[in-house]
Amino acid sequence: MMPEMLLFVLCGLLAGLLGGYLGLGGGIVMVPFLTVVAGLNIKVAVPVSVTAIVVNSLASSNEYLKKGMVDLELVVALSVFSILGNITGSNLIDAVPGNVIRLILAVILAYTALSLLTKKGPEKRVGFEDNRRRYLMVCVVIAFLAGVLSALVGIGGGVILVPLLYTIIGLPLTTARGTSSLMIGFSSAAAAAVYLLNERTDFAVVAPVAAGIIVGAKLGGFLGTMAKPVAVKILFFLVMLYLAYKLSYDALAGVI
Amino acid sequence: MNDEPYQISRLIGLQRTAWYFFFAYFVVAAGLWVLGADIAGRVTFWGVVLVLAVTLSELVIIAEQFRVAEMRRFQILSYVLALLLLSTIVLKYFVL
Repeated sequence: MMPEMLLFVLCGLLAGLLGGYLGLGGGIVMVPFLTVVAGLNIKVAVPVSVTAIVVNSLASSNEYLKKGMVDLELVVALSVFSILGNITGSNLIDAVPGNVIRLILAVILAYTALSLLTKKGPEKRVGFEDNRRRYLMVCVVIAFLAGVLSALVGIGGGVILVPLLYTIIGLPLTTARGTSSLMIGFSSAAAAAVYLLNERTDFAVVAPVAAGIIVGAKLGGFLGTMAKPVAVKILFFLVMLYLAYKLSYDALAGVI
Repeated sequence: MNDEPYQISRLIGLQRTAWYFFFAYFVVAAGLWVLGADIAGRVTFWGVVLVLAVTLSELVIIAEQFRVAEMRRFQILSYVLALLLLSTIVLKYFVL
């Protein structure tokens, strides 16, 4: 029991650190860690991850809020659709084949990773209001899809939301991460509630993961506000590319 | 972003308090699981419920900040979000 618990705490710690730093929920660390390293079934790992993401968001977004790096208007506007997507996704977990979802997500991730590195997002809010109006419908659709996919594969959706806010809306990267870190908390809360009420949440795993993630997220959020945009961009690119590889590999190998 | 018309100090304060509380709470919960205590499951369950309750409170605080700033559309959207979360729970628990 004790080594297992320590493993779960470590999982939460790493997920919180990376999630807080990059403005993600940490699910991209938790789900592979819990399934590959801890040997849990993915249908157990996903509800744990989604629940821990809400805890992560509470801790990591605080640092971004303190430094004024969160766009609350966008958080509220996009979260509505992201929550609707999340509710849809969490109710579909038994109906959709896992490898199909993984493959779709792998393609989206590979595309966003490449676009993040090649496209130039404005570091100042020049034309930001125009972009926000012009691309709002596109963002709404993507936020909904991010919600569906995040509930299905147990990630917070930050890997989709940060590039979306940065490349399409034109938020500075630090603000995109801060906005995403608060948003994923709201959208994942809906999925966490559904999993909780469906009795899909494994509390023996949630407790140590949450204890680890709350420390990691605070530290990650603090480091994230001080990070240089180029370093974050490269790290983000590598994380997304790795995730795309892992998801497509698992999908093609038929691992569910 | 610091020139926003609304204040976020309450939200920051809530999150800071929640951080200390949930850190202590989940460390205790994990400790109960290690000791094999019967109440560990129930304690963790209520911990998750509290996390969801704090998330709802965040939305209410955001909505109130939008109200103060007279940003009515965003105030309504914030309450819609809170309502969506609540209705998910109510529908799942009492209807489905």
